[in-house]
Amino acid sequence: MLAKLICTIWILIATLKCIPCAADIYVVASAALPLNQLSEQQVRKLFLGRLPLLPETQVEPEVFDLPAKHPLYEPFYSHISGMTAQKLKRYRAYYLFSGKGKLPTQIESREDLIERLENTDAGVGYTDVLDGNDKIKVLYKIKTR
Amino acid sequence: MFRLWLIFLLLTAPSFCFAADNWNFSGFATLAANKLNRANLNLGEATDQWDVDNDSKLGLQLQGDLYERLSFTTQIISTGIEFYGKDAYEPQLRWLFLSYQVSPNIRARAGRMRASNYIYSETQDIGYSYTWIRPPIEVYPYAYKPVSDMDGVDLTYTADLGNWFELDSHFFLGHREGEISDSLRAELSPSFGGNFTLRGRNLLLRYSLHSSTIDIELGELVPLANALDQTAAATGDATFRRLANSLSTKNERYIYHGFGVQWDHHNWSTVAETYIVDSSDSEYANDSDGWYVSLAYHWKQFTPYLEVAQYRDSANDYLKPVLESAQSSYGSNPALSELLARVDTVYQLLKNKQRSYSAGVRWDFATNLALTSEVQYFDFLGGTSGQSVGSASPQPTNLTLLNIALDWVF
Repeated sequence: MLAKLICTIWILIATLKCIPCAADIYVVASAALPLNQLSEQQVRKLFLGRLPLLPETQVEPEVFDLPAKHPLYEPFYSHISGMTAQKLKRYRAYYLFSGKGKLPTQIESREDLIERLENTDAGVGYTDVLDGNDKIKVLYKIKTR
Repeated sequence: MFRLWLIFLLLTAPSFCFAADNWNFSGFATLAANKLNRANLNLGEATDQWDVDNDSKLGLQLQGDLYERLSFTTQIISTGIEFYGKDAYEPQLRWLFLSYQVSPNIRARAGRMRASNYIYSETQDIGYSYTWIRPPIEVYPYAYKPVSDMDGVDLTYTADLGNWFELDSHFFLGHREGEISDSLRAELSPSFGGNFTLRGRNLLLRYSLHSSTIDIELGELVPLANALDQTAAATGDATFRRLANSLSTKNERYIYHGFGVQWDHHNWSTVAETYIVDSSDSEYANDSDGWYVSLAYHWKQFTPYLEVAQYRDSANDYLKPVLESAQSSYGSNPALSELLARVDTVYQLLKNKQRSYSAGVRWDFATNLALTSEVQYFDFLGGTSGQSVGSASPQPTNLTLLNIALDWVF
């Protein structure tokens, strides 16, 4: 009985501990990128296509985006731009077809992102899992709690 | 010269793109149907029969990185509206330019671009990019479509203002021309100016100042202008020459001011724009102004909206006292009275004033697909028939337009 109770409490604590971890979203880049941080405004401009060259580096970024159905997509864009997924789609149609630039490259998953970042020096994306990977670095942290 | 430049870009840029294996292909389409409640009238291509030509369109776009910071964009579009002296659905080159990112804040472009008078000017044909069936015709009139492409250069400077705002300053210089109908041809050259956009997280403010030197030829009015010139020579009265000159214009400067605002607050969105076109009061002068206000509410996949808009073109108003004085002086001469009456009729036809009220719902029912239905009521003011064209008798004082559109981007 006591063992069951301890086990339940342990599971609850572990779950509660994990929730805040999962809630944070990190804007990440390849460790090779000569840039260590971005401001909130720079993150917003980057993912909305209004930051053509990365600050300090003068390098053209390659922005990676998760699919619209991914659980991180809506909270990420809601935080950085205040847009819902539908408003964002309208904005992106406006942006793309008004000749202002190209859209982010869509990837399939967090794992796909990490793989792309490891092979793209100027790649930038977002994830909620870091896994201590030393080939990527965090440029900005979003606390969604 | 511009045509040579365009052909050069068209022929060379795609090969660079494919060589670099770094290109993006995208597109948009609208399938729309409309119906007016009155016979013998057109509003754009809409008539009293359900028809798909007014707002249906298909566009394809190719973008490629040619070299570091240098990119190429082209867009070809096919629309159902028969303007430009071209058939419906005839493919037209809409964008074809090279873009160079000079520095983080400065971008330069050269080639064919869209005129940038209003917030939605550059995406006027991309139904997916706005809530309505089409941007309000009181500010985005059908008659301006033929002159909405610009061949030239532009430069955009972006500055961050604190942590919350950005200011885009966009300057351009170019040439615009087009056929509005068989008898009406307009050329804007040079056309230059600037657009200044202050952008915040939920707020956008935009001011435009454009200046164009314009030639307008109204071909059907040439016989009338010749008759007025001959009368001026016969009578020695310069009034007739002024009236003749008012039927076309050459090298006249038009100044355009536009102001727009977009504001989002929680689920509410509002957008409003207004403009004034000011021409010098000599020769053919079509001073005009217009505005619209639109309010939308976003609820799940649905966006119901309302819109009110107004437009006025006070063509040749400055000559009204001159015409009335001539009619008074020559009232006893039947031939001259008839000539002056024809001038009066032309002036009345060139005038337009209308107000519209629209209500609609957009439904984003699938990824990259939206279905919009809209009812528009047009009130024609000042004894004019607004932007409608036709032979309905008696002349209508209002129209109702029903619309439904399926928009897709890919």
